[in-house]
Amino acid sequence: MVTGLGRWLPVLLGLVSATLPSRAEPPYTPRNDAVVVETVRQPRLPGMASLGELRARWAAQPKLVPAALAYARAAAELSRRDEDPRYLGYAQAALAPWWDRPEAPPEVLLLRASLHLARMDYAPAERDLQALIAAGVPEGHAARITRALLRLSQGDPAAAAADCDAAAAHVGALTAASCMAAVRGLQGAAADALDALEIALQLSADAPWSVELWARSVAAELALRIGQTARAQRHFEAGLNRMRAADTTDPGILAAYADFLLHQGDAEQVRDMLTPYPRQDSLLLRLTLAELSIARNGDAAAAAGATQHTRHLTLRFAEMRQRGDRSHLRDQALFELDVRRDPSAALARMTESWAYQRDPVDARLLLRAARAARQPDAAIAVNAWIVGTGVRDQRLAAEQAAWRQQATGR
Amino acid sequence: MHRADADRAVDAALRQIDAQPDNMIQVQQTVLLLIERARLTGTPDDYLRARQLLVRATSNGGTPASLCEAHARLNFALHRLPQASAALTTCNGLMDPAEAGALAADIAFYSGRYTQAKAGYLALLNHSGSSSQHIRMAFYRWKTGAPAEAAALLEAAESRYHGGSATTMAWLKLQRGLLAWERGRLDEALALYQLAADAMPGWWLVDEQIAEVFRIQGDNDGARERLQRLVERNGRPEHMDELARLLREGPTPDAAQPWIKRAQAIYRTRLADFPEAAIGHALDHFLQFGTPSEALALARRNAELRPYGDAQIMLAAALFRAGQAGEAASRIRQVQDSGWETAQLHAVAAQILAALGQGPAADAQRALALMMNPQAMRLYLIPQPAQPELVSMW
Repeated sequence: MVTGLGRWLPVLLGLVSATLPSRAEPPYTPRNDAVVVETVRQPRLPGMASLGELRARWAAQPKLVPAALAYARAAAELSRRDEDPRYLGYAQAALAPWWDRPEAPPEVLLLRASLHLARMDYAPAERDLQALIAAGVPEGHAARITRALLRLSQGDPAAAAADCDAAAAHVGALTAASCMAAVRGLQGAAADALDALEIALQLSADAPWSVELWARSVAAELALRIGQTARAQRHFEAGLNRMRAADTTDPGILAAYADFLLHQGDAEQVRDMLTPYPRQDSLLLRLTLAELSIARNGDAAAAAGATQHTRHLTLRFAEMRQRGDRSHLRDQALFELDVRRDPSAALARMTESWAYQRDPVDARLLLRAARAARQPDAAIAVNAWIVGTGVRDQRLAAEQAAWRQQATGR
Repeated sequence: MHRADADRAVDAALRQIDAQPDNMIQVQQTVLLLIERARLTGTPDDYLRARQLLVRATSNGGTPASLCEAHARLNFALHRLPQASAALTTCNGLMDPAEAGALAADIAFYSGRYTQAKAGYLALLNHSGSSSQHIRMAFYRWKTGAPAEAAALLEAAESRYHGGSATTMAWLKLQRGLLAWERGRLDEALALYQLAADAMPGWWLVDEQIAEVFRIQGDNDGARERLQRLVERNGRPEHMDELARLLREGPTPDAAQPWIKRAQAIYRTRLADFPEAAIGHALDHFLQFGTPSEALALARRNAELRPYGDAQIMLAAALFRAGQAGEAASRIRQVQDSGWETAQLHAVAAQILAALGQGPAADAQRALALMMNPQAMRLYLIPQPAQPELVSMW
């Protein structure tokens, strides 16, 4: 008798294999002029001019720093919301007169560093951030916080702590608290870090939405590390409420919450939550995972949705690889592991990703991929990293135990 | 009055005081001359001299009443409004009633008591209708949502001025230019500034505005040359800051740092010597180049000293930069409720509300700002709190 997952496995495997491109896809050509290829919106951020207006102003005076910055910032923010790399291209174009200049205006350097980071081009980003910090300019404080985040994502909490400390007096209270909580959370003090961050959140009810979303994301992750799921859920929901009230999209917190819900077995909620976000690759991936889960219970619509979305994601990730975009390596690994069920491909992506990003989420995924690919040695570096940082995470510990069992043959 | 005329008048007055140290009328007139020269040069040294003169006169038998106008005007110039008000009350019958009424209304305006200020200005306008009374009412209407009416009042003030003072004529053109600037009419503003410069060549107050127009129009080289000349001539920290801002956007951003340091050293000296008078000027520097906490402390003190709209808007900007966006928005709402209404207020409100995620309210404020000044969202950008540019991408 085939039960549970086994019952649906052939369907799922068929569904996945149907989406695999056997060769390079030919370029798509619409059959006629009536076919809508894409609905182009006139993007605009609240309280700001539309991107079109900002572009027109920049085009009129392309070497005027304030005009270039206003356009580039708006484009970069839209890129973050929509996970659309075209907007990063717009932003880079706006900064073209200064893109290769070592001595660029400080505000340009800061944004340029962020654009490099968005593409995971760490070396030029580090150079720009270091230049700002060394110059003693006001932008150096934001540069320190940005570099702290970079260090955290690289799994180096000690280096991040130095930057958080140095910036603390120059940034808002919640920004400083989030920075330090993220550091302490990677150093094995997640419980204390979460307590401190929650106090800061209570005292900073009027912080900008972008800062609160960051703080909520950090708080939820810390709560999960210590196994307090209800506490994590409170932070996720508070963050999402703030996000919706601000009429914005934060793919980071949405993806993290979706992962949490999927782990809890609540695929229906993930589907409801993420259906409005088909443009963002990270969210489309979680939607697909939810649909796959629902499809296992015989939901044909979910299965059809998963098929269609898997095809989209396959193409999008292939495009990313073609253009050398490393920004979604972790998601690509998850896609390979849980959608296409290709552990070797997942392990290859995660091994590549580990060179750039090392936090407990990455560590868990690399351990899982190595175990699924039956190549436990490929994740040995994770163990060294866990020892080096002192990070403590219940989910990571469980994954590590399973990995160790396979690695030692017990 | 040109600088040379002011120097001659002050020198002559000081000689007369040496000859007649107990002549309080002479002391009072000399203090007023020193205040006028300080406004002309933009340096605070004459405030120090005026204060020393008053201390010496008091020790020579001068009573508060005999020196009341000098005390009131000096305190007003130094942004010490309660002390100015107290001195004015001792002037009962000793000061020209129109002058006393005008100063009282000015004190009310900068104290945020707009209804009282308006009543005073209206009474003065109806009573004498002089050029200076038109100017006062123009300022009031300018800041309370009626810039077109303010422009008409300034033109009326100009047509009613029949004196021969080049300073006054230049100053009136300058004010009309500033008002045009705040309405987004940059070409008109530049034309008026140039008329002011024709009337009073080389006046820093005019030249700094011309440099600002050049900067906004994208002529950074023109703006930089003008500011460099201004710094060489006057050594004012405001011009060093402006020069630094331009250099930061140019091919040699590092060249800005020495100017920022020099400006900050001057501000720190002035804050020690004339804390009340210096705060408003220093705030702009610290808001951009200082720590958020220091800027916020200065902004709070500035708003305590002169709780009028512009000081409250600066406080909101300082709160915002320090990461207290909600309190900044509350402060902005208070200013709106007080009757203050400028394009700057709406533009700053739009930026703060956008950061708070209040999109529709931000859009509404942006629309109001652009209605009053089509350039408002370019001219009134406030420093952002230090945070990663793309914080939530992580």
